[in-house]
Amino acid sequence: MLIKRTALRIKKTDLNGNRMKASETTTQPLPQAMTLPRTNSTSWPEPPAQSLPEDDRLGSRDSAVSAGVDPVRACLTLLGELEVSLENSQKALLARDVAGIERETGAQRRLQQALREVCTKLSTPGRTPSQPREASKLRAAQLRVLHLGRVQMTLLEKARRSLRVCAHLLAGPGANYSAPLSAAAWMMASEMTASRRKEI
Amino acid sequence: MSSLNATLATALSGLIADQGALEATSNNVANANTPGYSREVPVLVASDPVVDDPLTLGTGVTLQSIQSITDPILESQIQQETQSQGQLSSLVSALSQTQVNFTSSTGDIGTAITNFFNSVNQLSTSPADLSLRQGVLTAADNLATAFNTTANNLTAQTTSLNQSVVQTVGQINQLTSQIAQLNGQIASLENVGESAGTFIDQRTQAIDQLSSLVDVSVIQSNNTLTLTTASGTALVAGQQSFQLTTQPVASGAQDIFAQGNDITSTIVSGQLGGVLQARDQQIPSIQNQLDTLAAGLANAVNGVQTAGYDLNGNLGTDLFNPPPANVTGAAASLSVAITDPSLIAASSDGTSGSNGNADAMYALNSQPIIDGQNPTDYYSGTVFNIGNAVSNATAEQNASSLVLQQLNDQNSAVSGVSLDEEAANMIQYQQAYAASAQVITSINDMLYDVVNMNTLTT
Repeated sequence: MLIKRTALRIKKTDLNGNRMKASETTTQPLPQAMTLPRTNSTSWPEPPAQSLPEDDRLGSRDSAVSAGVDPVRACLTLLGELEVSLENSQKALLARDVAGIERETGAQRRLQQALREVCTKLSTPGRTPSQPREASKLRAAQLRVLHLGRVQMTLLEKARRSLRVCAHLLAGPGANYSAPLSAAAWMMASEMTASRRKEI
Repeated sequence: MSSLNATLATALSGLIADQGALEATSNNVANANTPGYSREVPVLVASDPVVDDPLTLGTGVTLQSIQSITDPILESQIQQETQSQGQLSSLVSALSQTQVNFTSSTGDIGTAITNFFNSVNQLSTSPADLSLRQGVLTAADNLATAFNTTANNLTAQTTSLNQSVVQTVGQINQLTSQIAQLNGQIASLENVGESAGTFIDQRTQAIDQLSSLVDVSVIQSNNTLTLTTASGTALVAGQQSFQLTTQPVASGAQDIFAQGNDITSTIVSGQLGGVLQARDQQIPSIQNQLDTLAAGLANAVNGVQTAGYDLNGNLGTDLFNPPPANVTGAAASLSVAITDPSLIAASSDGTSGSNGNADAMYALNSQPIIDGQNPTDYYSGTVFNIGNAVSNATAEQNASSLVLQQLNDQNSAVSGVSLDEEAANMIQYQQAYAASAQVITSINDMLYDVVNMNTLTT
C-alpha cells in the first residue's frame, strides 16, 4: 500500500469551522521524527499541529508593540497570535498533552499582558481605528478570540470533570464520593495523624 | 506412537483453523469502510493433547471463536458525548431561529420603540398638528404590530418544536424496538456459543443514534443489555422495548409519557433534551421578557395619556388597550385603543397649544419604567441575552464536536480495520495454510510408501 506523505498540511478553519481553500493552507515539510497515533489505514491520522516556536511569536509581538507601530495593527497581530495559541492549546487539551497546555497557557498569559498594553493605547483619543474596514477587522478578530475562549472554557470544564472521575477511581475502594483532598490538606491530615500517634 | 492418520487430522485442523482465520481477515478487509464496524480477530487455541505413554502428543489447533475488538469505556464516552452534541445542536438551531426575530431591521421592536418616542417628540413641537398626531398613532400601531409579530413568531416556533418532540419520540421508539430485536438475535447466537459481533456492532450503532436523540444509560448484563433514560425510565430490557408516547397537556405543549408517567422534565440531554430546553425554558423566558416590556410600556404610556388632555380639552383615554394584569400574553395582544388622532393627550392643561403631556410621554424613553430600566435598555438586554445564549451554546457545541472527534479517532484506532495489519495477517495465515497443506502432501507420500511397501519388498 502506498501512502503519500510528502508534506504536512496544517489545516485552517474559518469561524464556522469550514475548512479553508487549498490555496489558503500553509504547507510545511514533514519533520524527520514524529510520533503519530496508531495507524488506521482508512483514515490517516492528523499529525499534531506545528506551533511556532514561542520565541518567534514573542519576537514578532515585541516588535509590534515596542516599535511604536499603529496600535490597531499591533492589536490585530496579537489577536491573531492569541487565536493560534488558543487553537493549539485546544489540541493539546484534547490530546491531554500537559506540556503543550502549560506552554500555550504561558504564551496566552503573556499575550494577554501585551494586549492590555496595546488596548490602553487604543483607548486614547485619536488612536481608535479611523477606517471602518480596520474597525470591522478588529471586531471580527475579537469575536473569533471570544469564541475560541468560550470553546477553551468548555473543554477545560470537560477535562476537569474527567480528572475528577479519575481522582475518584484512584482514591481506591475505601474512599467515599467526596472530593479528593488537596495536597495541602493531605499534608495537614498526615501531620495530625503523626502527632496523634506520638501522643499515644 | 501417533499414527499417520492422526498426524493427517492434526494437519487438517491447521487447514481448517487457518481458513477460518483467513475468513475473519477477509471480512475485516471487506468492512474496512463500513461505519461502526469493529475489527474481528480469530481466537486460536491448541486442541486437547492425547497421552500416549510416555508421550503427550498435540492434536492440532481449534478456532475457538471470532472476537470483535471494542473498548466499552470509549464506547460509553462516545455515547455520552453524542448526547451532549445532540442536545447542543438542537438548542443552537432553535435559539438561532429565535435570534432572527431580534436582529436589527425596520420592523423590529427596538426600532419601533425608537420611532414611537421620536414621533411623540415631534408632536411636542406642534401639539395641535393633526398630521403629527396621526404620525404618533401610526408609530404606536407599528410598535404594537412589532410586538405581535415577534410574539406570534415565538409561538409558531414553540408549535414547531412540539412537532419536533413528537417526531423525535417516534424515532426513539423505532430505535428501541430495533435494539430489543438485536438483543434477541445476539442472545440466541451467544447462547449456542456463536459470535454475534456483527449484531453487536449494529446494536452499538443503534445505541449511538439513540444517544443523539435522548439521554441513555446502558446497563450490560451477561449477553443482553438494558437501556434506560438518565433518570431511570426503562427504554429496553432484554428483548422487550418500552414505547414512549406524547400527549398534549393543559399548556398546549406535547409532553412525553412513559408507562403513564410524565417524564418531560427529566429529559435533559440528546436532541430531545435540547428541544425541550428551548421550548420549556429559553423561549418562555424570552416571551416573558417581551410581555413585561409590552405591558410596562403600555401601562406607562397609558398612565401619562390619561393624566393629560386631548385636542378637545377632554381628559385623555388609554392609547393602548390595557394589557393583562399578570402580563402573560401582553406582547401578542398589544393593540392601539384609539383611531382618532385628536384623542392623543398632548396637553397638560387642556389648551390645544400645550405640549407638557407630550414631553412627559417622550420622557418615558429615558425613565426606568420596566424592571428598573428604560424601554430601550430593557430591550437591548433581552437581545444581548439571546445573543449570549446562542454564542455560549455554539461554543459548547464546537467543544463537544472536538471531543467527539477525538473519541471517535481513539475508537477507530482500537476497533477500526488497519489494512496494513490485515495484509500482514493474510500472509501469515496463507503461509500457515500452505505449510499445513505441505504436511498433508508429505503424509500422503508417506501413506503411499506404506501402501506400496509390500509391492516394493516383493
